[in-house]
Amino acid sequence: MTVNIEDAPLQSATHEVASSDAMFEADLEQIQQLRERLNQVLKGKPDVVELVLVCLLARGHILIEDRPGLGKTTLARALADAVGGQFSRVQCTPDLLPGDVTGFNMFNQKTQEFDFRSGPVFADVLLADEINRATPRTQSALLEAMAERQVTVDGERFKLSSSFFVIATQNPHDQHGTYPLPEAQLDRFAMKLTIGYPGHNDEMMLLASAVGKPANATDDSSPLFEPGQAERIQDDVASVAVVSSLHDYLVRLAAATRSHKAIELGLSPRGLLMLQRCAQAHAWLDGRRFATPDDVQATAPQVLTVRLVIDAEDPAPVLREVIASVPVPEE
Amino acid sequence: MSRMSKSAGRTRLSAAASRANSSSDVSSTETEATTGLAVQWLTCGLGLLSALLLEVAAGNGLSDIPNIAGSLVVQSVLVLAAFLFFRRRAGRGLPAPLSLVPILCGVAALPFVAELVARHFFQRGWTLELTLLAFLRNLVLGCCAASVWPKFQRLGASLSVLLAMFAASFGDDRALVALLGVYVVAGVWWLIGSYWDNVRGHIAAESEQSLPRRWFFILPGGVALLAMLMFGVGRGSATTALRGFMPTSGGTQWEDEFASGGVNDGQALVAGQNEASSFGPVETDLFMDSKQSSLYDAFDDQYDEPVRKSETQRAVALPPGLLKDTHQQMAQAKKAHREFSTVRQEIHQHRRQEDVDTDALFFVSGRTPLHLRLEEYDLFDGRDWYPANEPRWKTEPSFRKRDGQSWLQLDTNSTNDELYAGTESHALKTVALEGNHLPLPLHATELLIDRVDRPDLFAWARDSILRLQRKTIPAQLVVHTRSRVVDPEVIATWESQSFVKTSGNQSQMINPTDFSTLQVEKLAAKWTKGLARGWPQINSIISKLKSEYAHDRDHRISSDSVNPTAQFVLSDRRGPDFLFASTAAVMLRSLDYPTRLVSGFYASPENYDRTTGHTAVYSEDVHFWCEVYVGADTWLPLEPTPGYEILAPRLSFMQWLGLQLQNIVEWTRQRWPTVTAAVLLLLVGWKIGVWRTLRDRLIDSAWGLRWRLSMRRNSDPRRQLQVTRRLVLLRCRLTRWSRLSGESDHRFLRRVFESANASLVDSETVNECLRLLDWDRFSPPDMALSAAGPGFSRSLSRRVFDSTDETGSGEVRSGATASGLLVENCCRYLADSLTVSVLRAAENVDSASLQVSRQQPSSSHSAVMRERSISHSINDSRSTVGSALSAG
Repeated sequence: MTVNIEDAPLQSATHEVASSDAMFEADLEQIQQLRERLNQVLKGKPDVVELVLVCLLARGHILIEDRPGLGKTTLARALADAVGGQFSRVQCTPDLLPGDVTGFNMFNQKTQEFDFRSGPVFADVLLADEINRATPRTQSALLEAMAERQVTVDGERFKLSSSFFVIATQNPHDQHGTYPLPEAQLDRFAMKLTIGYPGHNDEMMLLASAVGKPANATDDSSPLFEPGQAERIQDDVASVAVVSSLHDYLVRLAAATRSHKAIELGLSPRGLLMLQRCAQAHAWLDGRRFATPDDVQATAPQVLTVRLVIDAEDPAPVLREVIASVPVPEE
Repeated sequence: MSRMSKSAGRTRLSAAASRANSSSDVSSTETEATTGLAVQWLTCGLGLLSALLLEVAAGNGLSDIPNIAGSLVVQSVLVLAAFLFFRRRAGRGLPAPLSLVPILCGVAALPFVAELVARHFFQRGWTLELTLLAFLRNLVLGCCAASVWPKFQRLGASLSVLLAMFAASFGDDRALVALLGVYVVAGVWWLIGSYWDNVRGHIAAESEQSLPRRWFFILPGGVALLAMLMFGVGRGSATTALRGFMPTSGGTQWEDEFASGGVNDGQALVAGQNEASSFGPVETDLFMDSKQSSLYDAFDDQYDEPVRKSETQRAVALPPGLLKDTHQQMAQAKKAHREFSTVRQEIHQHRRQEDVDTDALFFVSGRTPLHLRLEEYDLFDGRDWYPANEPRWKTEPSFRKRDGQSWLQLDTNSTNDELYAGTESHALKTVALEGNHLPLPLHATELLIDRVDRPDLFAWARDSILRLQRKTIPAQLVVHTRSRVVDPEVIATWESQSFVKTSGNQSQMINPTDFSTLQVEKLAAKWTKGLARGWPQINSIISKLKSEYAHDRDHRISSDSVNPTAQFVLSDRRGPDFLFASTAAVMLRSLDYPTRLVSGFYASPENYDRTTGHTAVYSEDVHFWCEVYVGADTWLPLEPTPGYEILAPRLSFMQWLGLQLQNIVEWTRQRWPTVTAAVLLLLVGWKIGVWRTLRDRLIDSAWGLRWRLSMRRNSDPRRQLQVTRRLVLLRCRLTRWSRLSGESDHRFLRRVFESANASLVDSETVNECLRLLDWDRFSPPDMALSAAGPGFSRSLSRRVFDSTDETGSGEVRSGATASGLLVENCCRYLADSLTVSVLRAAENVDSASLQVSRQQPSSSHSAVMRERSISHSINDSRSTVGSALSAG
């Protein structure tokens, strides 16, 4: 009864798509495993895990602003393990130098040459702990690495891993001895997340699972992804379709952040790009090859909160208001 | 920031949990907005106190305690019920309903409606200021009931101040002052309670300092204001205290027929007690000197120039204490106003009153039509009627005391007691009656004029016409009468021998013997041919005259006519009422019924004034009719003139009901096509009104038809989805579902689905459908459904909508056909599940869930895809906790 006009031209295309669908599905399956593993590590925070996944797929770095002991490192570690890359960690202090992050040339007495000792940035997943305790000079070195995925030491450029992924943590600003990250550098992050304390049940579960476990026991740390698979998924995410009406929506959303009274610094074009990429990642995670306004709205608060300068005690209502004020694409 | 996303994650998980969460959010903000419970109760108390003030003022003091208590209880119960209802609503974190303001207005407007109804149907009314105060009272009570919300609380409290002030100034009872004092104390308490936070802040900040300077002004000012409120307003009169604020009665020169005081201002007459400023037709204890002739003569022993009467006639002597000395010109209220018993306090300001004049000769209160007799005529010579002779008293007149009044007993020898159907009371209020004959009904039995208990003041003018032993009946006199009414049904059953052939007065029997009169008599014989003697014959003549002759007041029989009756009956067939009466008399006399002609006034129901309850009688209401003698000193009134009726006995309730039913049936019978059409229309309208679903179904099927047509016309899945989307959104708009700002179709429809039938909805299917809609909207036009992602191809392969459609389910289809089928089924599912009736039923749920979703604008969409894993973990945790608890 249905006479489909797409019938004839689609015969070949469907076949090809079906095979890529199978791959898509396999990828989703693996992401689901990753999701489960992260949820296992970070109990009771499925939404944080979801956003972490979005960032991973969107190739965006994450800034986690929270108090110590909430599982930031564990999360980063688990992520690095799962992605199958190398994990490294920098504990930022005021006396940390740029060389401690990027690496430095050391004179080799034997060869009489300078050998490059690579720093912690040469990893797939880097956890920069308490980044706002490092001096601005060190911060900027790290941030260059994040933006360019390369470091320059003594005029020599070193490429970083293509899946280089930074999870930076910072203490809330009102603590002593911190150097707040400048806006330009905050813009390099895809999102700012807050983990928060787990719920009552989750903490009970946490305690229950810790009973009878050796103190230094580690969770399953076998890599989930084949080499290169993460990059392939990231490429796939980048190809998720975004129709022009959604582009229009994104631009209007950006314009709204720039004209809002309570927002001092609006969304930059770089941020806009990141917003689109996150929306794409969100759509991909939902098993779609096209993005919708809901994808944008699901990721927008976290994408915006890291880079907008909001003149308000609590930025969340302002962001909510801005997002709600922009009408979604109508016909 | 994470709080937002967290709550987004939970929306889909368990609505209850997220709702509890959000409501706690709301209540935490609400508590800042709402004031304490004590203040809310206090507001209710203030409102009820001011309402009590109004009750006391309206009831003129505490004279009617049961009534006041009753209404206070009713008001308290209503306010309490509404208050508790609103509290529960506010407890759930809901704001004041939008409909509250219109409902409040409606409740406030009730007194006006009630007033209109009362005035129109019951001829009763409150004064305008009382109605306004009742309006204010309803508003105050409504606001107090809604005092959970601060703005209503403040409004209610401030309006109650107005109400208390107005009410207190309206009445003049001591209790009002006391109540006002209580009110003021409660009001101060309320102020302290509701602004306690501010007050406390000031106290804490300024406890070290001396009292701020401004209090030196505020404190005495406040005390003075209180004193003014309690003593000034409380004891002052309405006219002085409230001029300019409220319309008041009593000398404001502004006339309202229901106003309650003064001569010129309202239509209520108040019997003077201490002071009077006008004469009126009302019985009073106060007498004043007037130049006019009066029925009363009070003894005046003052050293003053005596008032010279224009004419001195016989009068009743009154003791001197009743006379009141006045220094002002007395106005006269000649209209028969409503009587009003409330006594207002004196006004020490003398104002010149103006006369209220009228064309009426007198007013009748009581049932009409009423034939009031002034003169009887016995002898007829063919052209002229001659009055009967003056009779003597048949029995000695006597007075009977009843209710402290002396009623003159009118002697009547009529022994036909079975003839009468009941007693009627009437009051006549004279304005400008000539002569001394008292216009009374035929079967009057008793008569009362205030303070007149001397028999020698009355005399019989004719056989049954009473006159005062004076030249004239004084103006402004109130005459009460009781009379009996003849039951026409009893007469109709009378035997023929009951109608006697002689009355003992020959002149009531004989007709002139000229030729023309013979012609008239022949006609009478013709009209009554074959009828039995008695009522059938009489009735035949009366009804012939009534039906075949036209009443024409201005028609004149030519003056050279020998016999006007003959000319009227035989040729002109139209004429004034006296020709009808004369003809009837001549005809009845020819058939040996003793008959007499009567002249007098006809109090016509057309002149009845509903607002005053009086029927005015004008000089045009002079009327002629005749009476027939039926033996045992009994006369029956006959009304031969068309358009005039004899007062029928009062109907019993069942008779009245029967008559009304008969009228309705008759009315319906005459207009049956219109009535049938109206009934049909009403039925249809009622059906639509009562079962709104019927109408909804109509709309549904109309749109559904359009939708189905365009579905068939368009085989393109995208087009089909567009059509369906438009249909569903249109239905939502019709049922007042509206999108929140920035809400996407996907989230909006999910919200609709969730509140529409949360238990029935298959979330998997809904999810598929909404995703398909998204695919249509937000995927590039060249992206086929099968290429849109694994989620879509999964549903294609699973075919979640594997329905029972005609193509069967076992066939293997190509991808494109399958996608077409998927889309079609999805469209059908959307169109079938979001019908207008479903949407309308879900409206009520919406307001609650709207709050929740406003609190959490982030996407519930993302939540859906995580649903499985999260719910899994939550279930895990629940079972863990559960087992832990049970183990413990």
